[in-house]
Amino acid sequence: MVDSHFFQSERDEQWFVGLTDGPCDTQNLAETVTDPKNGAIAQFLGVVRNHNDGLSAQAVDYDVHPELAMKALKKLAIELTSVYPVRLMMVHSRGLVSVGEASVVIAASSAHRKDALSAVADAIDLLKVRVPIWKREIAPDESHRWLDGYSLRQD
Amino acid sequence: MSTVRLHFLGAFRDLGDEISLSVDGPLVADLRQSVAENFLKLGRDDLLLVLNRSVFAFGDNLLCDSDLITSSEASLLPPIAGG
Repeated sequence: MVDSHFFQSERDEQWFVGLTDGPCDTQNLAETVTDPKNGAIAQFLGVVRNHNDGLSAQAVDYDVHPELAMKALKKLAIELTSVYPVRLMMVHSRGLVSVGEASVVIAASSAHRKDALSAVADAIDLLKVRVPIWKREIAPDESHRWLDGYSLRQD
Repeated sequence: MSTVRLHFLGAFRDLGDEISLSVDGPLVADLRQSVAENFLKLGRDDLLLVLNRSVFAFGDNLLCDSDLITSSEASLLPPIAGG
């Protein structure tokens, strides 16, 4: 995956994290984490759906604090690659993503499947509660609402 | 009294991208109080609950209310909802 697709990205030998404008590129995900030592690749795509809480949706507009989001993604990547022997990539969208398009992509490779699967599952769970990103859901009639989430307040 | 340029994110964006606030006190708690008063002035009492669950940041550092205001620019981060 080419870094220039991203408005912010950072990589290490074991991980790649990035923020992209609009939908995530879902092609060639495996390429980013491929390693001849690894026999398993797990992937997760978070895709915008056409309904939420009983209401119809046509798109989600993602707001991002780039500095904080990159800091949180990088910290998460370092943490997960220290827990699991994996190569890991995590990318999230900023801006408008329509129904059916991916807003988050995560991939991990490992020697055996268990570590890659666990790393991907932990990555999406933790991304949702740590990375400063917000969703503005847009209805078919163009009205919108900001979705509630997890407070980062610690005092 | 200091002036802080506050950048809005998430639900607070409905009020605009940023606002300049006078803050009477040295702590982030004082900044929070100033934001609350501003929301009341704007008739946006509905945002007070969100404000109470929000956190301030200077650059890429998240702050506690007991922290000192050390910058004239801050961000206000409501509860997050990525993914």
